[in-house]
Amino acid sequence: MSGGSLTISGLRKSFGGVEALRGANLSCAGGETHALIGENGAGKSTLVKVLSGAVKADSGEISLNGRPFDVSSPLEAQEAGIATAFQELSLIPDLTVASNLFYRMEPRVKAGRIDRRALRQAAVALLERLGVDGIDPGRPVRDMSLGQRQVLEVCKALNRAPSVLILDEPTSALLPEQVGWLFGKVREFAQAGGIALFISHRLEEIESLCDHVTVLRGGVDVGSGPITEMAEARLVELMLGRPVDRVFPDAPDRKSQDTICEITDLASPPRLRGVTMSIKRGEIVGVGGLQGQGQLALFLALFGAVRSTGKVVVGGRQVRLRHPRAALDAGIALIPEDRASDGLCMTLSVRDNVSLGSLSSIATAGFVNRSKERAMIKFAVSQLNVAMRNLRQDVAALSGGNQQKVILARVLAQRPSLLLMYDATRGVDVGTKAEIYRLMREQCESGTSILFYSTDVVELVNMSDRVIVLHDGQIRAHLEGVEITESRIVAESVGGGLRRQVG
Amino acid sequence: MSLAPGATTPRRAVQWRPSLRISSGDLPLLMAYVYVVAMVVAVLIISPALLDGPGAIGANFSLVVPLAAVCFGQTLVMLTRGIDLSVGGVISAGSALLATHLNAQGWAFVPELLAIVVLGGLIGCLNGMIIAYTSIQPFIVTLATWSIWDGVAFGVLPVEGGKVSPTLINATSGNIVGLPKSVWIVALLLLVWRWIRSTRFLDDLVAIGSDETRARLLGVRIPRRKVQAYAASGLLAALAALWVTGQTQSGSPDGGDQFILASVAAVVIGGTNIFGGKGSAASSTMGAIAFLLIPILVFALNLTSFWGIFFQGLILIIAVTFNSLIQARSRG
Repeated sequence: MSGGSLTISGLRKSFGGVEALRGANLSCAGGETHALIGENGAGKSTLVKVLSGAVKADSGEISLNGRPFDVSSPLEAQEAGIATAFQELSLIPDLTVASNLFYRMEPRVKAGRIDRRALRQAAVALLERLGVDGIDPGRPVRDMSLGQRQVLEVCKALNRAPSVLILDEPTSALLPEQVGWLFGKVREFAQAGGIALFISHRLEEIESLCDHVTVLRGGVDVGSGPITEMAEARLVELMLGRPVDRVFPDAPDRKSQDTICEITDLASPPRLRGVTMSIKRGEIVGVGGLQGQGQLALFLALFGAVRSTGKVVVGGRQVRLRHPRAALDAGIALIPEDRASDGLCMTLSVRDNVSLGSLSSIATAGFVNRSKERAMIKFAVSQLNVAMRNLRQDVAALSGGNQQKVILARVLAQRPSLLLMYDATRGVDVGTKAEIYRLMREQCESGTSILFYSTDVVELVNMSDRVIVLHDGQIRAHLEGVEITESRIVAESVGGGLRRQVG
Repeated sequence: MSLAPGATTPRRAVQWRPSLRISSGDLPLLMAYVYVVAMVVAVLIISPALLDGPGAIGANFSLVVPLAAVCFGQTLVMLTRGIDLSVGGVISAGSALLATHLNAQGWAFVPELLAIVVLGGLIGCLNGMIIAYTSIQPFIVTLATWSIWDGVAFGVLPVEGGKVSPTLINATSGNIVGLPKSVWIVALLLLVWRWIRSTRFLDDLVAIGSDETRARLLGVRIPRRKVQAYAASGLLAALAALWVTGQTQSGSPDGGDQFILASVAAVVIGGTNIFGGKGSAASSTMGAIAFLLIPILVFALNLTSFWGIFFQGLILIIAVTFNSLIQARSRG
């Protein structure tokens, strides 16, 4: 192995009185692929920000290849040899792919002017060398899909020829083939003596890619070692700080027979092309299928957020879903996938975000009854253990998992009869996931029905009473009871030769 | 379903969908050319003398020069997601000074000319520093400095008039190699844009306007770039003041105010995104020309002049609606 090394000792950083890092240590050697794991809010992002020069640590020492690493800007960090593929992506949407890949290291610059042709050629060569196909370097990044952007973010980091490559949740939007490509690149990088620091929520990815792992919890490292010595259960225990028996709660066997929601020929072309189904009271219906087969359109149509045709009956009354307001009035609530852009008003407080959804039930003649509001929110928030300083705190200051809980609190405060959950556990840590599952069960006990889409098949299998698999905007398969297995859902999603005859 | 790859790595990541030549998000930047061509054709059909009569080109372009200069600066500022309302104050103050204190003749006028330009740049610097180092909105900062410099203009020259240097009057009229100077200046502005377009400076402005947080992660020196953009805007506004004052042969303590809304309108008609990240000074120049063609078209149609303002408002709404539709589509 090469002589490169990265050592972090006693790193501390606090933001406005909240300690994100409380003396974290980390040590990696050249040629290592090192996983950094932990729950949301464990300090991973902060550690990444310090290493990439985006924020400065309050105290502690970092040494890179035996020299002290003391930088005060992202540019200095890159020059010192640490390149980061950021989770939130650092690509500029309005600049071209080529400009983004070579930002600040353009191949030919004369008197401040960039030679566009040389730049383009360099970009073509780089993409070719990294084995990336089908991206025109002359097009702006805004035209690229999320997956392409994530691939480009990695290409950009590799292009800096760093000694440390940080990958912050690089796989969230990647297709399986793209994940394969990424892992190949990371292995090559490590074999050439580099240090790859890999941050991910997906334990199976870490196990297949990394050779070392460090677990963070509450801003400190609570365990570290070769991956072979850390079983999955041990890692989860370290992350949570307590042993976990089971993530998924037991399914109750009590089943109601009355139908709460009857959907007939619901369509919203071109994505959704006619779905007919019914949902019983207290039932959890999972929605599977490959990504982009009309799941989003189905959820948005049921929530009245896109125009649709067809008939939807909720609780015996036909609902005209022309606006989310109509859906909410009919007792249909939605937990969206992207909490930051669709679910929360980031500049409002926790209190306002929770009560926004049910203002009509706590307001009189247009004025909010603050004591009713408080009672309602206290109840909702206490059910969910939202980690926050107080109700007036801005939602933007909460961690991702806690933001998701605030949405849940708001939705639960509305006491919906049909709850739509669109990939609500994406990017959420194991602990919060378990809590969300528990809440789903509780809601069903109290008579709410849930329609939920998930990209995580394991989740569908363990939480659903029934599963529908969508393909090309229509229901391709209806699975019940013992039919609900991982392999069956995948087979039905993929279709073709893998698909078994139904019935 | 396992996402983990086997021991073999595919050489190619994935085959992605093929690409079009022009990004649909860039369409707004082309629309101003369409507006200009359409209106020129319309005027040429109805009343060609308004555009190709004797001296018509020079007269029309001398209105374009100051607006195009101000729009150039406004575009740079808007790329960073800012706005510069103080251009009005800079032009007014410049005009007042040129009609009172800075009106020497011959070579003695050169240092005075430079003084005006430097002053414009410094005023822009000041805007930029306030905006870059505080979190005050550019709109508010430049609204305040506009008022301040208009106040200075009225202090220097309380009423329209004064005495303008004959050297400046001569310099802003006449032809060079058969073409009016005004045409040359507009061409020069377009050339400068062509050059600036490929600089790191411009990429940095786009990065800042596109996403300031990411720009910081990329190592862009944000305050410095903002100061430079506002300085350029102030400097170009001072150049506009020189042209306007020489052309009208008198100073005006509030002559700059009309350029504020006109420049914002022209830049937006040119397709520059008011929320930053996308823009072109060439398109803004076309926007300025389109904006100034409207009164000519109204005149050609034999309508009363108030229809000019009416249609200027209308084209602005049309352009903005079109741009936002395009943006909504290219995002979705």
